[in-house]
Amino acid sequence: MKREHSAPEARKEGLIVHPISEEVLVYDLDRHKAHSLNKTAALVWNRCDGKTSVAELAQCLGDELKAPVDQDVVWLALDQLAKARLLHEHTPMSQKPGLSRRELIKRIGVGGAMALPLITSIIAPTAAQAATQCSSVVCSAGICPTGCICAANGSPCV
Amino acid sequence: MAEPRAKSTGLLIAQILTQSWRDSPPALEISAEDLTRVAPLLLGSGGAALAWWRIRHSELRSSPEALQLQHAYHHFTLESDLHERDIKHVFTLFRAAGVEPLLVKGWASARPYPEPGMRVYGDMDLYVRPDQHEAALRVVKSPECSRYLVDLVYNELSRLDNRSFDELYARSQPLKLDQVVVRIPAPEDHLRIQCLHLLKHGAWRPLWLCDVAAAVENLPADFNWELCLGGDKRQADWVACTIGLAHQLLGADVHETPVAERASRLPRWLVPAVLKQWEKPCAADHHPSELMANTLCNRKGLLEAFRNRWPDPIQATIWMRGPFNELPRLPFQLGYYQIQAARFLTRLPKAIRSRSDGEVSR
Repeated sequence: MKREHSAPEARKEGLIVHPISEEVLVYDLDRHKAHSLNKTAALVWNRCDGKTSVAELAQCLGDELKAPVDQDVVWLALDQLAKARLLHEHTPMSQKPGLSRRELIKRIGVGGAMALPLITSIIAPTAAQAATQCSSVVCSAGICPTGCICAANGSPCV
Repeated sequence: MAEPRAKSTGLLIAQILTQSWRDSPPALEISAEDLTRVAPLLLGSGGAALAWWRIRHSELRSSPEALQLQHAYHHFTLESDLHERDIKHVFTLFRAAGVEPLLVKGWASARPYPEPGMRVYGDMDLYVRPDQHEAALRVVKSPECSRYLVDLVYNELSRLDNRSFDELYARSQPLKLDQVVVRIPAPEDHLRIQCLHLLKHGAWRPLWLCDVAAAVENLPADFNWELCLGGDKRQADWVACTIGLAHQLLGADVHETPVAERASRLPRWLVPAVLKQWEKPCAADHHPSELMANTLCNRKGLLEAFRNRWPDPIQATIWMRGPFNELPRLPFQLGYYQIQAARFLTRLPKAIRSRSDGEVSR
């Protein structure tokens, strides 16, 4: 499998980053999307400094997880980070698609799957807004932007 | 043997949220069916992250409902960062206009929670001096402020709270958010404001009671109960009963407070009234979907509109400035209903005139 071997670089600008326990939450201010990175994905992302190669990333990850880590695990993380737009555009990615998560699980076994990188999109809970918030929003075209009730166009929502 | 009766939705919500504001809440024993039943209500009412906090170490943590609750917790965590940025910007805008606001509820209520993502962040409720209200309104309506959800709420709550803005401001706490100083009321004032706000809305949102519980369990060592409760005895009793609700429904520890005795002996109607409200804990259930004026030509709709506007006993007692005692609530409900009806009737001619222009009046 032929791949570029330059060092990937994490995007840090235009993001709000909030670590919680072993995960890292990221909000993309440009795209208004939120992601949750599991421990492995977060470790890879934090080490993407534009200087560390994929091989070195695998080594670092192995040190952190206290187990040998295949480079494909790093490539899987990079693929996901790139899809979530959390790497710089110029970061070279695999020329051929890398192993999928499913293929990797087959290879390393279900036990090792816990250590696989995972980035999930955070979906906003529905109607979790305060009632008082509604009155601050004006209804337009029969719709209240925060999911409140539209009483009449141009009037505060309820 | 008869089938055990299913627990009411209100009781289930209370069970899930019990001590959920603590760093290490007690283990939760709840069935997957019950979680499925109440998860949408927790998601819709802002209590989802607290529910996640309670079930995160239980067997239910990997259920689809738990995943939704976890998403809410993640969402609120990021929202807390965004909300702090917004607060800093809004305070800067207000100061530039010569207005010094106090931030109440929301972010101020979230401070006692162990993590910022445990509470939902909605709008920004600000108190401003009454003589600065117009200037503050101009800031709120300015293009720079238009993307923020700012509510100027002092006038509304001052109808229930007998403290002046100057009094509240003199005791307020300056907090630094990076380089911006944000003022919030003193803990004594804020606890009272939280309680009165909850009662004013009939306690329909469980999160508000969690806020009260979290505040009560995290009071500073020098908390002055006299300052919090003092003055108006009736108002003091409302506050004490609200803390009592947090104790009886959510397990808040009040034993070292002067309201402990009152907290264990609430009027019999109060807890059932709150549990009934929690059957429908989402905002949409507490606002009529149809304007009263729009139902006038529709007899069935009118009856429905009248029924929807029947006040709950808590709200009615508070707005009628009644005592929290064992007497029936009906007189307060009737009184409050009459006031509301009179208010509607005085606005009716204007509403009818303006209907054709698309202007509305409730």
